[in-house]
Amino acid sequence: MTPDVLDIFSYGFMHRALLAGLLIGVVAPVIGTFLVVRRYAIMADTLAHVSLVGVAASILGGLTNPVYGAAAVSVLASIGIEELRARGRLFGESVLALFLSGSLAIAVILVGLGRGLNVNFTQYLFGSITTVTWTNVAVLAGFVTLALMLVAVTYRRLFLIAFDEDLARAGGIRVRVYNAMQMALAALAISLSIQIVGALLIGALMVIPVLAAMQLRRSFLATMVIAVGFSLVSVAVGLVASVALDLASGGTIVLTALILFMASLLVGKKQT
Amino acid sequence: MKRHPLIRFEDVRFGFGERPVLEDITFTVDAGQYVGIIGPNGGGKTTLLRLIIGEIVPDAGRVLIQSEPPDSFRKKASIGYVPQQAAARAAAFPATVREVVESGRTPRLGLFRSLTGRDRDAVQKALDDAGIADLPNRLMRELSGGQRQRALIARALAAEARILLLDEPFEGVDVDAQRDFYGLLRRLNAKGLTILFVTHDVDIIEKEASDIICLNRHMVCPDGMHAGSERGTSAGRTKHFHTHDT
Repeated sequence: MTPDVLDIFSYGFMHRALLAGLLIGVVAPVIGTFLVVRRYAIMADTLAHVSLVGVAASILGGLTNPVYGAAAVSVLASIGIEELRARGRLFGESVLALFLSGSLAIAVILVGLGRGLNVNFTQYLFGSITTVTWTNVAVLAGFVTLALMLVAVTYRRLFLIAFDEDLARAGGIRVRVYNAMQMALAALAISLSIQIVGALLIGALMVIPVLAAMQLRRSFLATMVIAVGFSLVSVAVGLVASVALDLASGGTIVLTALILFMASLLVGKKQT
Repeated sequence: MKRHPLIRFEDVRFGFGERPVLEDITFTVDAGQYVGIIGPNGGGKTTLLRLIIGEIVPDAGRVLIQSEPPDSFRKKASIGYVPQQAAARAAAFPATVREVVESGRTPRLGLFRSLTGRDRDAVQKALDDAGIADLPNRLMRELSGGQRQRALIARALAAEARILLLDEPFEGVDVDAQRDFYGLLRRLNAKGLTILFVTHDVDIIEKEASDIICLNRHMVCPDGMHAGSERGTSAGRTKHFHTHDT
């Protein structure tokens, strides 16, 4: 039997999950906006898959919280991806495909080596809100504060780099430094979020609210703010619905975001 | 007339690995000149602009902007650059004209600084000078090709650039818009802005530029640069244009 909607908020795990989810809901589209406009949306999925290597290795190594292993591996991978892309030896998309499929292969092998650990691993694939601790929430809050401060301070530079890297370089902006910073922030946001949304779905939360906001044809800054709004609604409605209807949290959050995307698509069409 | 050398190339050589792209490049552009750069594909036109903005450095020889290496000049954000295909790329970007033009001020702003009144005045003046004062709140994707080019020029003007570099600025722009656009460039040049633009179009360069650089790895018309030549006269302008495969 499913619990009454109001009863949901009496559960301690729900407070932690909602708080953590809302924190992710703010930071994911802020970072995602820059990825989407640079046509780098698949980066989020790639880093999510890479983070699974960290999760699997951490579980195998007996670490109590695999999220931190995921964060370490995905930050290292993000630096590697950016380095390969900047050197221009491989197309941007092929670098991502290389890391995405390669990391999934490694993660699958690691999980195979640790037979019996599959249950633990699965919760990071699809998200498991009941496992979120107050420590997780505190770490996430610290990261979100840092990420938002960094984006606020460097916003104009990030905008210019996203608009045209050539123009940014011509203006003397150290594009590689800012790109590395963005990728590291994306890697951390993803790895710290997989507990709630799941590695297979966090990419969607970074991208779908931004795509939905872009349908409304507003300025860059307004698009980012609207995307945050869509993302928060998706997280709040998705989490509550998932508990009330006994559904998977990650899937319900992303499905809510998809519904908002379709609605904004209709609104956007009416505006043209 | 007194010359004010602004851009100086001295025996510049640049190549990618073993393949030379530019060799023996020597010329001077004075402040206020309006220079067309012409040559075949692969002739080194875009590379020349990238050397001026300091994105790449010569293998031999030197590039000086107002007697300084480009990198130190670049830090002052005094070179406005409109790269090839920039207008086409801008068409897909979800930003307003004002946001794009304001980004011209970004290299001048410190990390913790937001736009001041002076910055906003510079942006408004750039919008006025580029003839798009009525478009600041329009999205880039809603503009025509010519309007998008103007927005990118305004972006360069907002930076208070003293040199404007345009790399094939008229791709995807219709003929009427091109005519208006050249009018805009002439007005900006008349106000003292030094302009270098790359094109494939011999007729345009003959009609518009006051001086010409013909490039095909070497300078194939090195006599084409004559400082102090006047618009509308043929004094100092090259009359010949050579293309030959490298």
